[in-house]
Amino acid sequence: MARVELLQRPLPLLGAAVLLHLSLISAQVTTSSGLPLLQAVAFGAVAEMQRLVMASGSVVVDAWRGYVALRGAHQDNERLRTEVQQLELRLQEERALAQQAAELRRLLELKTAAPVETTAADIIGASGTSGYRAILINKGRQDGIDADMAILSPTGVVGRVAQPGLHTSKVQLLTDRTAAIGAVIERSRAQGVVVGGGVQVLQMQYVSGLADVREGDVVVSSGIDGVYPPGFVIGSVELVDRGPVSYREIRIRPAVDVTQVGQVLVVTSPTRAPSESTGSTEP
Amino acid sequence: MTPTRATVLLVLAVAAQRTLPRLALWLSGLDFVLMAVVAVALRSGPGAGVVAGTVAGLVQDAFGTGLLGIGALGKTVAGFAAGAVAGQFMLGSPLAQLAIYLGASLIHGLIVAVFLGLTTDAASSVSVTLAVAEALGTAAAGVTCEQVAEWWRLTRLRRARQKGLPD
Repeated sequence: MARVELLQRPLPLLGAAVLLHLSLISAQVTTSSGLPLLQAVAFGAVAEMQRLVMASGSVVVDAWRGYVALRGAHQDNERLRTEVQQLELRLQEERALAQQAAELRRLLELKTAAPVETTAADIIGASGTSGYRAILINKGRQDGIDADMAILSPTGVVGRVAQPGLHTSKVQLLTDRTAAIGAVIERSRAQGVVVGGGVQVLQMQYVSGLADVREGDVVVSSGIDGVYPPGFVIGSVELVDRGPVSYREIRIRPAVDVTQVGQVLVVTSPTRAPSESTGSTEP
Repeated sequence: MTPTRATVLLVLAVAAQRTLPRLALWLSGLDFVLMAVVAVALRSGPGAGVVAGTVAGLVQDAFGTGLLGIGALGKTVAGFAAGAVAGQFMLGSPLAQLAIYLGASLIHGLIVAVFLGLTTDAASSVSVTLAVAEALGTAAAGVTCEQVAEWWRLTRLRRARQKGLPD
């Protein structure tokens, strides 16, 4: 009975018979790769099926990525646009911080290079009347600030502490009409006194008419006044003229533009006059 | 066809395949086993054709020098095809029988040639013309046998009726 049922299902019977014959043939021969034929054929068939599946799968994935997934592109664009705006804002903030850091770095470098002890302070205000120039810093007696302490900046001498408060101090600028600083021409070592002009200009006085002074010469502090440390830039010679007496009239352009400075250094250590600074270049 | 008769037929075919070519060389081009397989399939259907092709083909391959299974595979598929076609059409005429036998022979020859090509270099020496000629010869021999068998069946039936009439 079972034999009759088996004969009435020819297709499974054919499949089984074909498989049997293929197995027999495969067991007797090997391919050039050394694999049995059936194994090679099966591997080739499976590999081809896998390739087809992968190919069709990649088509589906590409279609999904290229078309279907674009449904969320509008929301993504909006989100990215918002992120870009936030990042631009953040960039501006970072840029401002970077400028601040660079300025502080210059101050720190100056602090390291200066042979004096200093403390940094922020400029928090300015005051000025006719001929009188001053700024306000955020350090006072509470921070060890005292009167007649020199104020420096990375580009040169700013002024001195004129009136220290508890937490703030008023600084007299070099351009103040009543300010004075012992100075020396860096190239010729000609000495004199630089006084404020009330405007953005300085005058160097008491320089001998025989002194070698040229336009463009750099003027630095001499330290002889006991307030300002020696060797810091005051400005550069802008105009040299012979005065009515035996002294020259020298106009100096200040090295420091206070309007461009945000932080300053307050010299907290006593200023010592250099031993050689008293030497005159006059013959 | 009963299994016993089918078995006897297949055994006779294998025996003929082993002996007749020694008597006449041209008989070596005929595949008696395939003829028997197709005959079984025509009478008993594709399932019987598959079984007959498998068993007889394996036996024939076992006696031969080639790879075991190649001829059997060809005969299995040929037997299935012959049985499947026979179940769909009326195959009483010699021409229809010729088509069945020829188709089965060509299927068998094609499968054998393909697998010989895959497994050995023997396929390069197989002549298509010779293969077709052998298929035609096998088909013609098969139809002849069918006609002889039919004549023999009718003769026996006639004799039986003649014997029975006086009764």
